[in-house]
Amino acid sequence: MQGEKGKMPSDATVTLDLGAEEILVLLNVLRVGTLPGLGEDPTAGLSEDQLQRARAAGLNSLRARGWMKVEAGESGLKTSIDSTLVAILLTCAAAKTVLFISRLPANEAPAISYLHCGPHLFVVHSTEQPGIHRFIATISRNDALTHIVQALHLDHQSPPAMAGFTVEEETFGRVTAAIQENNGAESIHILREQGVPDDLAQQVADSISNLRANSMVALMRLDIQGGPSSSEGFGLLESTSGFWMLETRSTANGGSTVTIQPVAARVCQERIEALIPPLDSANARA
Amino acid sequence: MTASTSSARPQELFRYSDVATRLDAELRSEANSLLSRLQRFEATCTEYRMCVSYLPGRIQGYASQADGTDRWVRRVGVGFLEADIFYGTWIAIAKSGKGFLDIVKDLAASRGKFRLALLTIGRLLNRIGGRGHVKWMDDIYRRLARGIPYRGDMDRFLKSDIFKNGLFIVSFILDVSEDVHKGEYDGDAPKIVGVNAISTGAELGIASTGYGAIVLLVNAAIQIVGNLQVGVQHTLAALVGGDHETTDLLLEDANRVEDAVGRMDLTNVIKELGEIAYDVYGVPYVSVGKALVGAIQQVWAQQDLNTLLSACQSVLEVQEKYGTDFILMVISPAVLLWTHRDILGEGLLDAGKATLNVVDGAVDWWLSSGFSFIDATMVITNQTVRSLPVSADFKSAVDSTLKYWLQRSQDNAEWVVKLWMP
Repeated sequence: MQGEKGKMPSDATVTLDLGAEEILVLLNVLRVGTLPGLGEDPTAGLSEDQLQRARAAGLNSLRARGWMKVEAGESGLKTSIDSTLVAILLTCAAAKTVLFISRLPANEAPAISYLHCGPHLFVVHSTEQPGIHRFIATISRNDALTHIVQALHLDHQSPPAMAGFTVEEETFGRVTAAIQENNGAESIHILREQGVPDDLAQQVADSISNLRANSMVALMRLDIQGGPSSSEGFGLLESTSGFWMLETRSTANGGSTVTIQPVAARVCQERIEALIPPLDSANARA
Repeated sequence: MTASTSSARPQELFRYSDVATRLDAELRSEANSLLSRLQRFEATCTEYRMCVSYLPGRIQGYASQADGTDRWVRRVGVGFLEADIFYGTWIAIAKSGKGFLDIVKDLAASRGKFRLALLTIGRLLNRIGGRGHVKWMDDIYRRLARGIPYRGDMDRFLKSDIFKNGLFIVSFILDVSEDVHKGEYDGDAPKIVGVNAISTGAELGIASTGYGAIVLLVNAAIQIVGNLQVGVQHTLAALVGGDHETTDLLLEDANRVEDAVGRMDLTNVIKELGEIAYDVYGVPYVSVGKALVGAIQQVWAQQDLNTLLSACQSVLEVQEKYGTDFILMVISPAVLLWTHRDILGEGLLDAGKATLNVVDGAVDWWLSSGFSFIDATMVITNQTVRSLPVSADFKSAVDSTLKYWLQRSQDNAEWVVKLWMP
């Protein structure tokens, strides 16, 4: 927790860093199978012996931090656990609305975050370093938004000075494939065939060829009772000239189109803010 | 009881217990003395750090442990002395059987995936008659096989009679123990064992008939899930803190659910029939009853899985040898049901229907929760461990989050309560 390093948390937000072993212990104690972002089975690949050792290490770590206590009771071992820790993990495990944020920089490791929107808490879960998970819990919708905006490197960037256009999804796939094969001429040719003006096709090909990062924002509404789940969101191409927003739409003939348009960072922020639901609780902050 | 009917000699047990208890006390006294001497020794070793003063603690620990065992030996001796034929042997075990029951509970607690598999079977049960269930069998079976932490050939184990009988022996142990402690049947020991032997036999019989086994397994699952839920409610009720009125309401709800879960136990019906059979036929079916008690003695003497399997094998052999007894035990309740169908038939049918409904509800309950998030022995607290430093507003949100999950589980619990206690 950042507070332990001398920085007190704000009134509305608490930040915890948990080791993978600590998470294994907490999932086991809370009888939670997994969390979004940990895979279907966080213990996959571990032998029984390795798992026991990992949990023992995690338990000792949590006990040393003072967040968990195990003592003998009348009916066996009694586990005591900090309520804030439990609330954070329960929100991650069972929130029905999750905002998925991924940012894939050109030459760096990908960064993936999940904003779990519980009824009373927002929790941003990300992996800052291998084996270390960061949980930022907040009752402030603005704080939650700020963390997402920072994760996507949205600042005050202006939109690229170009027009937007719409093409078939399959066509856009061919454009990106051609660029990945360093065949810029082919990508421009494909766009021209779809009616994209020459200069715009050239600029798009240049932008995609020199991407800083490829990001995605997707809001998932999970129906835990087995009903249909849904998602909505957009992609972001971050180029030297600014952001391009990508949105797909289904067409009447069963296909789908991709709309690519330049956007200002501020517009992206507004779109993300519109996706985040408000908290239910009376103590929620703006 | 006479000495000729028991292999144990109570007086020798008493002597052993008295001598051993005295020795344990002396050992603890010696350990205390040794501790003070070693602490002085450690204090004088300034050049190299010595750490030997923990040793007397181990001795004290051993002495305390041994003391408990020795006192238990005495209680068993008392039990043998008070007992009558083999029933007394059982009573002696049941009265001092807390340790074994704890082991059984621990085993049950570690079977999370097994419980989930059983509930999947519950879902299947509601499709019986729709012909849509057959294709699920393999999947369910695989879940069972994966879910139980048994290192041997799980497939063979699950298909074996030993596994099936093992479940019922454990059930028999728990049922008799519960009746002894509750003083059921006015403490009539032969009747307690007789009724439970008959009802256990009936359950075995039901289990041998295809979906009958599934019904009983699902029934067991409901009991486990229901009691787990009660544990959760009791635990979370403490979260409310200063709001005593709400705490009391939550605890009251938990108690109502506990009562409802107890009522919905299908084996209650079987047990009622077992009691009727006992009253009608006297003290029958001694062979299987003896075998069950013998198995319990084995398991009590050596509490491990191999012994349990071996004991189950013994029961199986007796059942084969005394097939008539066993069949009679199984058939008796069915005959009684038929002869008393005017009185019992409709009620039993209603109970069966209600149980099937509860199975469906319990499965939905489980699935809608998404997970079972708290162990019954777990305490969520901001008092006994060092709490994270959060603001009052944030703490309020934390409490609201935990109450939200409590509310969700209670909404489902209310459904069950209404069904059984209109």
